[in-house]
Amino acid sequence: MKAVFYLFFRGTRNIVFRALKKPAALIGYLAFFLFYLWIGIRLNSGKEQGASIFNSDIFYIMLTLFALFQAYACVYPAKKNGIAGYLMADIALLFQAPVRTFDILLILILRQFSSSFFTIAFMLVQAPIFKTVFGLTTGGVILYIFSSIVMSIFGTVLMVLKVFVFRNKPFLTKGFRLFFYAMLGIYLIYPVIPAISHASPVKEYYRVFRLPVMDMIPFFGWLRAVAVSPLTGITQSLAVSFLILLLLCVTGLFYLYRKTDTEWFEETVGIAEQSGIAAEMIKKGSMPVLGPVRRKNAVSFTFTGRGSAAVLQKHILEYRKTGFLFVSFKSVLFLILGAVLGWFIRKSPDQDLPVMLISLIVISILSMLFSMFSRWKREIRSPYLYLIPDTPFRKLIMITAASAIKHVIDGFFYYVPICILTGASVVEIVIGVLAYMTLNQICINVDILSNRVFGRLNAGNFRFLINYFMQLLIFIPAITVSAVLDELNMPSVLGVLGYLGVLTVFYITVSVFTAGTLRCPENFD
Amino acid sequence: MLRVENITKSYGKLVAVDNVSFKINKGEICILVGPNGAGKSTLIKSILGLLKHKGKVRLGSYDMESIEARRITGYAPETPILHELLTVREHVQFIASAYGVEDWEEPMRVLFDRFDLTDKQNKLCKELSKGMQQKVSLCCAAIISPAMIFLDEPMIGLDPKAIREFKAMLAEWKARGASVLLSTHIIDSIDSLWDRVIMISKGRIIKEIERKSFEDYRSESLQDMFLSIMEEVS
Repeated sequence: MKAVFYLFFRGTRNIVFRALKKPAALIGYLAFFLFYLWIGIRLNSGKEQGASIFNSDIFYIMLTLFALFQAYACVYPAKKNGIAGYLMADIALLFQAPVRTFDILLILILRQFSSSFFTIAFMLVQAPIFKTVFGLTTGGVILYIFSSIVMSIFGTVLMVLKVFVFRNKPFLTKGFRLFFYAMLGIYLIYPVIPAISHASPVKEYYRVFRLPVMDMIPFFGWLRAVAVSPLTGITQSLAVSFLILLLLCVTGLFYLYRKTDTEWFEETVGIAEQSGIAAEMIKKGSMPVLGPVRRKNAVSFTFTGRGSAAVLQKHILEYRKTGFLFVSFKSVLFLILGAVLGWFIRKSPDQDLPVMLISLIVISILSMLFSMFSRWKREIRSPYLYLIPDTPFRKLIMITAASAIKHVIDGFFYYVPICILTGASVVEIVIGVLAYMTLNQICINVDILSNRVFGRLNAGNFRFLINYFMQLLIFIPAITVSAVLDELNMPSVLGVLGYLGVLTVFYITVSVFTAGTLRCPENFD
Repeated sequence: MLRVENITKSYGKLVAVDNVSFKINKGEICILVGPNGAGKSTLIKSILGLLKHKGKVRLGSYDMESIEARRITGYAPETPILHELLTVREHVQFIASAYGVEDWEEPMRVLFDRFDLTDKQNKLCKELSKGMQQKVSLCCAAIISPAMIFLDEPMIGLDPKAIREFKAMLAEWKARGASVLLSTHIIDSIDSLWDRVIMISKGRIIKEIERKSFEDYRSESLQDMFLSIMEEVS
């Protein structure tokens, strides 16, 4: 146990020392957090406690979904199940050491404690924003921190316990899986019964779903009661659920303390390896697809492009090998999203926001999420790009061109169902698609730029935050222009055109700076 | 010292290690050779208990997965995988703590001198080159003075001086009665050290040779012999 504590405390101490050794990154973090805090405080000033920008129901649904996900990840039993969260170095150094099984498990719990402290810090910074956006009270913020810590630590213990209890016990696994599905069924279907005969079924479903009695459903209800406590406050449900989870985890820890076998290593090693591969793939700009290796299409291809055009051809070749032209799972996802959004807009048209503006807001947020997966990331780390005899601007265009084509195609998948269902015009579709493509190109350029400026600081998380913040700073004015044009009762096509216009100005400006960074690979992360 | 009995490791229908049995005596250096994908690393990982398998492995009188067996087992994986946030010295200290080694500082100093790590000992492992990381990995395996050492391709990435030191270390281990199972492709470099060679292909042992019988009956080098056997198999 002494060795495990040594590993944990030394590692944590070195994080602090490393941060102090690179004051630029540390100052950057602090400046960013203070700025974030300042925005929250400014937004909060003069506002009544409990008043919110968004309806608190949105936050309630978000927290419920989180609890549902946590219940699945931590409790759903499988015959072959490993423990997530170990590092590859743990496998090579800790698993082989003559330490007890419990000590190997302890490091996970210690790390969870450690990340909980970061969670507290992160949430404290966000507290004023939460208060403004979701109308949380001070007590709600404290409960939010509490519930996050409880969920992460209890979640880890439950996950480990699950692996040990159900491993290689097919009968028990099957039985518990049935119980799991039965509880999930009750949790989701029970509120349907009163909702069917009600005049407003969705509202009735939601009302029954929120009743305290639902918190008594094992796992789903218990975890939800803890997760939604920032909104509900300290209730009987919270106290009961917390005590049940606490009892379960303490009993589980005693049970695990007695374990000595090593049979769980293989699956755990597998998960650690896959996590390592996924992290590396994200770094290279690929979407981490784990599990069986997908079959690649046989493609005959001849490179004809000169200079950096060859890079674009290489990307096209890769797209052809992994799918049908540029159509991928993401395209199908966008098609479904477009259809669902279009259906909702048709069923309950928003009087304040035009269709295209709603769709632009949704897709802009998605763009920011997906912008981290792109082929250019691999290119800027490759020395060959810099050796190609071509101008930096052309190189920038070529390494991002495949992404642009992909975004145009995905954009059509998203907009066509929306326009069919809401009756928007073809011109609006085309402008919307171009706007989506331009926004994505900006996201890529911003990412390259921030990689160049902050890459050497080796502070990936910081860069991640800066990226999103810069993207927001570009996205918000574009949306504002579009909304203002709409307020002036201009045709909706002009609103989308305004959005595209602002983005184009930003795109050209950012591209000039970004192209300049592609002269030397040394400064990239 | 090490007794491996009927080890089989399968991934679905693919049999990566097929009914492998062998033993390594006290103080023996056993070399595991085979082409890429033959199952060398899988075999080592199975023996160590990192992969589930059929068959038995015993180290001395202990079951290989017991804490007692782990206490006397050293392992350096194929790719050095170290904790990014620990320094070189902290790695060795952590291993010493985990294995309950009391007097680790002097042996660590000697190891660091041998592998030119003295001036790097306070660096985070993340900041080291691949070769340097391999040296740290070997130091971690060596610091516990193991009775049985598993080394998976240990010479990859090492500079000539480190290879020389590593070979000297192998000889020292052998002299004090420790057993070694080492997988490698660089057969020539360990020609003078081995006591037993196990050649594997497609998960099966295709030849097991002891030093004595090899010297009595063979005039060719081990590498030539390996290549001719592999040609016969394929």
